[in-house]
Amino acid sequence: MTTAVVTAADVEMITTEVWGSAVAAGSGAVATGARPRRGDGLAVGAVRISGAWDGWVTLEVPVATARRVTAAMLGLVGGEPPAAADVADAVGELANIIGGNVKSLLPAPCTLGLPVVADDLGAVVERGSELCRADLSWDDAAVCVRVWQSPEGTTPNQGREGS
Amino acid sequence: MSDVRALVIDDSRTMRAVLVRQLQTLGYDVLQAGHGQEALDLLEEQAEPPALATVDWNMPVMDGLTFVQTVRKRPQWRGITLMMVTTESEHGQIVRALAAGAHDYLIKPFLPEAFVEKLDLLGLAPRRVDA
Repeated sequence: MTTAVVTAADVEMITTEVWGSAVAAGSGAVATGARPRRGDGLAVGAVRISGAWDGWVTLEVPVATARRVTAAMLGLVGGEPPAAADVADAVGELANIIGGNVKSLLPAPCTLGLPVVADDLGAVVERGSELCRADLSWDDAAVCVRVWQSPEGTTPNQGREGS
Repeated sequence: MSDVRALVIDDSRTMRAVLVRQLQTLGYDVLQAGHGQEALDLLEEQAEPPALATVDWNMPVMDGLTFVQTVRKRPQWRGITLMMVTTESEHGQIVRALAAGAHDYLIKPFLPEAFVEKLDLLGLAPRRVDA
Protein backbone atom coordinates (compact mmCIF):
# COMPACT_ATOMS: atom_id res chain seq x y z
CA MET A 1 0.00 0.00 0.00
CA THR A 2 1.25 3.45 -0.91
CA THR A 3 1.87 6.06 1.76
CA ALA A 4 -0.40 9.04 1.19
CA VAL A 5 0.71 12.63 0.98
CA VAL A 6 -2.52 14.36 1.96
CA THR A 7 -2.00 17.05 4.57
CA ALA A 8 -4.25 18.88 7.00
CA ALA A 9 -3.86 21.99 4.86
CA ASP A 10 -5.15 20.06 1.82
CA VAL A 11 -8.17 18.83 3.76
CA GLU A 12 -8.90 22.29 5.13
CA MET A 13 -8.72 23.81 1.66
CA ILE A 14 -10.98 21.15 0.15
CA THR A 15 -13.53 21.41 2.95
CA THR A 16 -13.60 25.19 2.73
CA GLU A 17 -14.21 25.00 -1.02
CA VAL A 18 -16.90 22.35 -0.65
CA TRP A 19 -18.70 24.34 2.03
CA GLY A 20 -18.50 27.54 0.01
CA SER A 21 -19.93 25.86 -3.10
CA ALA A 22 -22.27 23.13 -1.90
CA VAL A 23 -23.56 24.52 1.40
CA ALA A 24 -23.34 28.27 1.55
CA ALA A 25 -23.35 29.28 -2.13
CA GLY A 26 -20.04 31.05 -2.24
CA SER A 27 -20.30 32.96 0.99
CA GLY A 28 -19.70 30.26 3.55
CA ALA A 29 -15.99 30.40 4.22
CA VAL A 30 -15.11 27.95 6.97
CA ALA A 31 -12.62 29.28 9.48
CA THR A 32 -10.47 27.13 11.72
CA GLY A 33 -12.36 26.42 14.89
CA ALA A 34 -12.96 24.12 17.80
CA ARG A 35 -13.43 20.37 17.66
CA PRO A 36 -16.92 18.85 17.94
CA ARG A 37 -17.63 17.82 21.51
CA ARG A 38 -18.63 14.26 22.32
CA GLY A 39 -21.79 15.46 24.05
CA ASP A 40 -23.03 17.34 20.99
CA GLY A 41 -24.57 14.33 19.30
CA LEU A 42 -22.75 13.80 16.04
CA ALA A 43 -23.70 13.06 12.48
CA VAL A 44 -20.83 11.21 10.85
CA GLY A 45 -20.49 10.75 7.10
CA ALA A 46 -17.77 8.57 5.64
CA VAL A 47 -16.53 7.33 2.30
CA ARG A 48 -14.05 4.58 1.76
CA ILE A 49 -11.23 4.98 -0.72
CA SER A 50 -9.61 1.79 -1.91
CA GLY A 51 -6.98 0.80 -4.42
CA ALA A 52 -3.45 2.14 -4.48
CA TRP A 53 -4.33 3.76 -1.16
CA ASP A 54 -6.84 2.40 1.30
CA GLY A 55 -8.69 4.29 3.99
CA TRP A 56 -11.60 6.60 4.69
CA VAL A 57 -12.52 10.23 4.74
CA THR A 58 -14.92 11.18 7.50
CA LEU A 59 -16.99 14.28 8.18
CA GLU A 60 -18.23 14.91 11.73
CA VAL A 61 -20.71 17.64 12.58
CA PRO A 62 -23.08 18.15 15.49
CA VAL A 63 -26.59 16.97 14.58
CA ALA A 64 -28.00 20.49 14.98
CA THR A 65 -25.41 21.75 12.51
CA ALA A 66 -26.19 18.89 10.15
CA ARG A 67 -29.82 20.04 10.14
CA ARG A 68 -28.80 23.61 9.28
CA VAL A 69 -26.45 22.36 6.57
CA THR A 70 -29.25 20.28 5.09
CA ALA A 71 -31.68 23.18 5.17
CA ALA A 72 -29.12 25.36 3.40
CA MET A 73 -28.42 22.76 0.71
CA LEU A 74 -32.11 22.08 0.09
CA GLY A 75 -32.99 25.76 0.14
CA LEU A 76 -35.57 25.31 2.89
CA VAL A 77 -37.08 28.55 4.08
CA GLY A 78 -39.05 29.67 7.12
CA GLY A 79 -37.31 27.44 9.63
CA GLU A 80 -38.83 24.30 8.19
CA PRO A 81 -36.87 21.39 9.74
CA PRO A 82 -35.45 18.84 7.32
CA ALA A 83 -36.43 15.20 7.66
CA ALA A 84 -33.93 12.90 9.34
CA ALA A 85 -33.45 10.97 6.09
CA ASP A 86 -32.62 14.22 4.30
CA VAL A 87 -30.08 15.12 6.99
CA ALA A 88 -28.38 11.75 6.62
CA ASP A 89 -28.36 12.11 2.85
CA ALA A 90 -26.87 15.61 2.96
CA VAL A 91 -24.11 14.58 5.39
CA GLY A 92 -23.33 11.56 3.22
CA GLU A 93 -23.20 13.66 0.07
CA LEU A 94 -20.86 16.19 1.67
CA ALA A 95 -18.58 13.36 2.82
CA ASN A 96 -18.75 12.01 -0.73
CA ILE A 97 -17.78 15.33 -2.31
CA ILE A 98 -14.96 15.94 0.18
CA GLY A 99 -13.78 12.34 -0.19
CA GLY A 100 -13.78 12.57 -3.97
CA ASN A 101 -11.61 15.65 -3.86
CA VAL A 102 -9.25 14.04 -1.34
CA LYS A 103 -9.02 11.01 -3.65
CA SER A 104 -7.74 13.26 -6.42
CA LEU A 105 -4.64 13.89 -4.27
CA LEU A 106 -3.97 10.22 -3.61
CA PRO A 107 -2.04 7.74 -5.72
CA ALA A 108 -4.04 6.30 -8.63
CA PRO A 109 -5.85 4.10 -9.25
CA CYS A 110 -8.28 4.41 -6.38
CA THR A 111 -12.00 3.80 -6.16
CA LEU A 112 -14.45 5.87 -4.16
CA GLY A 113 -17.10 3.92 -2.28
CA LEU A 114 -20.66 4.97 -1.60
CA PRO A 115 -21.13 7.19 1.46
CA VAL A 116 -22.20 5.76 4.78
CA VAL A 117 -23.75 7.77 7.60
CA ALA A 118 -23.89 6.98 11.30
CA ASP A 119 -24.07 8.71 14.66
CA ASP A 120 -20.78 7.26 15.81
CA LEU A 121 -17.35 7.28 14.20
CA GLY A 122 -16.69 3.72 15.32
CA ALA A 123 -19.59 2.51 13.20
CA VAL A 124 -17.91 3.60 9.99
CA VAL A 125 -14.17 3.50 10.65
CA GLU A 126 -12.49 0.52 12.24
CA ARG A 127 -8.82 0.23 13.13
CA GLY A 128 -7.77 3.08 10.91
CA SER A 129 -4.96 5.41 11.86
CA GLU A 130 -5.65 9.13 11.57
CA LEU A 131 -3.48 10.53 8.80
CA CYS A 132 -4.57 14.14 9.14
CA ARG A 133 -7.52 16.27 10.20
CA ALA A 134 -8.99 19.68 9.68
CA ASP A 135 -10.98 21.32 12.47
CA LEU A 136 -13.17 24.04 11.07
CA SER A 137 -16.24 25.96 12.02
CA TRP A 138 -19.42 26.96 10.23
CA ASP A 139 -22.26 28.97 11.69
CA ASP A 140 -20.51 28.88 15.10
CA ALA A 141 -20.37 25.08 15.13
CA ALA A 142 -17.46 22.70 14.81
CA VAL A 143 -16.88 20.75 11.62
CA CYS A 144 -14.23 18.05 11.56
CA VAL A 145 -12.88 16.25 8.52
CA ARG A 146 -10.41 13.44 9.01
CA VAL A 147 -8.47 11.17 6.69
CA TRP A 148 -7.87 7.67 7.99
CA GLN A 149 -5.47 5.13 6.60
CA SER A 150 -6.28 1.45 6.86
CA PRO A 151 -3.72 -0.77 8.50
CA GLU A 152 -2.18 -2.80 5.70
CA GLY A 153 -3.98 -6.04 5.03
CA THR A 154 -7.17 -5.29 6.95
CA THR A 155 -10.65 -5.10 5.55
CA PRO A 156 -12.42 -1.84 6.36
CA ASN A 157 -15.77 -1.89 8.12
CA GLN A 158 -18.36 -1.38 5.39
CA GLY A 159 -20.80 0.42 7.72
CA ARG A 160 -24.33 0.83 6.45
CA GLU A 161 -24.80 2.02 2.95
CA GLY A 162 -26.02 5.54 2.47
CA SER A 163 -28.43 6.65 -0.21
CA MET B 1 -45.42 22.55 -17.70
CA SER B 2 -42.27 23.41 -19.62
CA ASP B 3 -41.62 21.86 -23.01
CA VAL B 4 -37.92 21.49 -22.20
CA ARG B 5 -37.15 18.49 -20.05
CA ALA B 6 -34.15 17.23 -18.14
CA LEU B 7 -33.36 14.06 -16.22
CA VAL B 8 -31.29 14.31 -13.03
CA ILE B 9 -29.61 11.06 -12.01
CA ASP B 10 -27.93 10.98 -8.61
CA ASP B 11 -28.21 8.66 -5.62
CA SER B 12 -28.17 11.66 -3.28
CA ARG B 13 -31.60 13.21 -2.97
CA THR B 14 -29.87 16.35 -1.71
CA MET B 15 -27.84 16.69 -4.89
CA ARG B 16 -30.90 15.92 -6.96
CA ALA B 17 -32.77 18.70 -5.16
CA VAL B 18 -29.94 21.15 -5.84
CA LEU B 19 -29.85 20.33 -9.56
CA VAL B 20 -33.63 20.22 -9.91
CA ARG B 21 -33.91 23.67 -8.34
CA GLN B 22 -31.33 25.11 -10.72
CA LEU B 23 -32.87 23.49 -13.79
CA GLN B 24 -36.38 24.59 -12.84
CA THR B 25 -35.05 28.13 -12.54
CA LEU B 26 -34.01 27.80 -16.18
CA GLY B 27 -37.47 26.64 -17.17
CA TYR B 28 -36.90 22.90 -17.29
CA ASP B 29 -39.44 20.26 -16.41
CA VAL B 30 -37.28 17.80 -14.45
CA LEU B 31 -37.43 14.03 -14.04
CA GLN B 32 -35.37 12.32 -11.34
CA ALA B 33 -33.73 8.94 -10.84
CA GLY B 34 -31.61 7.53 -8.00
CA HIS B 35 -29.39 5.32 -10.16
CA GLY B 36 -28.69 4.39 -13.75
CA GLN B 37 -31.15 1.53 -14.05
CA GLU B 38 -33.98 3.63 -12.65
CA ALA B 39 -33.08 6.29 -15.20
CA LEU B 40 -33.15 3.78 -18.07
CA ASP B 41 -36.56 2.56 -16.91
CA LEU B 42 -37.78 6.14 -16.80
CA LEU B 43 -36.47 6.85 -20.29
CA GLU B 44 -38.29 3.80 -21.64
CA GLU B 45 -41.56 5.31 -20.40
CA GLN B 46 -41.07 8.62 -22.19
CA ALA B 47 -42.65 9.27 -25.56
CA GLU B 48 -39.94 11.87 -26.18
CA PRO B 49 -36.55 11.72 -24.47
CA PRO B 50 -35.41 14.70 -22.38
CA ALA B 51 -32.98 17.18 -23.90
CA LEU B 52 -30.50 16.80 -21.04
CA ALA B 53 -29.45 14.23 -18.46
CA THR B 54 -27.09 15.04 -15.58
CA VAL B 55 -25.35 11.88 -14.47
CA ASP B 56 -23.55 11.10 -11.23
CA TRP B 57 -20.76 8.53 -11.49
CA ASN B 58 -20.84 6.51 -8.25
CA MET B 59 -24.32 5.12 -7.68
CA PRO B 60 -25.72 1.79 -6.51
CA VAL B 61 -27.34 -0.70 -8.92
CA MET B 62 -26.00 0.98 -12.09
CA ASP B 63 -23.24 3.58 -12.13
CA GLY B 64 -23.19 6.64 -14.33
CA LEU B 65 -20.58 5.39 -16.77
CA THR B 66 -22.62 2.26 -17.51
CA PHE B 67 -25.71 4.45 -17.96
CA VAL B 68 -23.90 6.65 -20.48
CA GLN B 69 -22.61 3.63 -22.39
CA THR B 70 -26.10 2.12 -22.48
CA VAL B 71 -27.80 5.31 -23.65
CA ARG B 72 -25.28 5.79 -26.42
CA LYS B 73 -26.13 2.36 -27.85
CA ARG B 74 -29.78 3.32 -28.34
CA PRO B 75 -30.47 5.40 -31.48
CA GLN B 76 -33.72 6.82 -30.10
CA TRP B 77 -31.79 8.42 -27.23
CA ARG B 78 -29.05 9.88 -29.41
CA GLY B 79 -30.44 13.39 -28.93
CA ILE B 80 -29.97 13.40 -25.16
CA THR B 81 -27.11 15.60 -24.03
CA LEU B 82 -25.29 13.81 -21.22
CA MET B 83 -23.44 15.80 -18.58
CA MET B 84 -21.51 13.95 -15.89
CA VAL B 85 -21.87 15.72 -12.52
CA THR B 86 -19.59 13.88 -10.14
CA THR B 87 -16.80 13.96 -7.57
CA GLU B 88 -14.61 11.84 -9.86
CA SER B 89 -12.03 14.37 -10.93
CA GLU B 90 -9.10 12.32 -12.20
CA HIS B 91 -8.12 12.99 -15.79
CA GLY B 92 -8.47 9.33 -16.72
CA GLN B 93 -12.03 9.22 -15.40
CA ILE B 94 -13.00 12.31 -17.37
CA VAL B 95 -11.50 10.83 -20.54
CA ARG B 96 -13.39 7.56 -19.97
CA ALA B 97 -16.69 9.38 -19.55
CA LEU B 98 -16.20 11.53 -22.63
CA ALA B 99 -15.07 8.54 -24.66
CA ALA B 100 -18.20 6.68 -23.58
CA GLY B 101 -20.35 9.45 -24.98
CA ALA B 102 -20.78 12.09 -22.27
CA HIS B 103 -20.87 15.59 -23.75
CA ASP B 104 -19.53 17.46 -20.76
CA TYR B 105 -18.21 16.97 -17.26
CA LEU B 106 -18.82 19.00 -14.09
CA ILE B 107 -16.91 18.23 -10.92
CA LYS B 108 -18.58 18.54 -7.50
CA PRO B 109 -18.58 20.88 -5.71
CA PHE B 110 -19.70 23.51 -8.18
CA LEU B 111 -21.29 26.91 -7.98
CA PRO B 112 -24.66 27.38 -9.66
CA GLU B 113 -23.02 29.78 -12.11
CA ALA B 114 -20.65 27.06 -13.30
CA PHE B 115 -23.55 24.72 -13.99
CA VAL B 116 -25.42 27.37 -15.96
CA GLU B 117 -22.25 28.23 -17.87
CA LYS B 118 -21.90 24.59 -18.93
CA LEU B 119 -25.50 24.55 -20.07
CA ASP B 120 -24.96 27.77 -21.99
CA LEU B 121 -21.98 26.28 -23.80
CA LEU B 122 -24.11 23.27 -24.70
CA GLY B 123 -26.91 25.53 -25.89
CA LEU B 124 -29.15 24.19 -23.14
CA ALA B 125 -29.85 27.19 -20.92
CA PRO B 126 -33.20 28.08 -22.51
CA ARG B 127 -34.46 30.81 -20.24
CA ARG B 128 -34.29 32.00 -16.68
CA VAL B 129 -37.69 31.82 -15.04
CA ASP B 130 -36.71 33.21 -11.66
CA ALA B 131 -33.30 34.78 -11.01
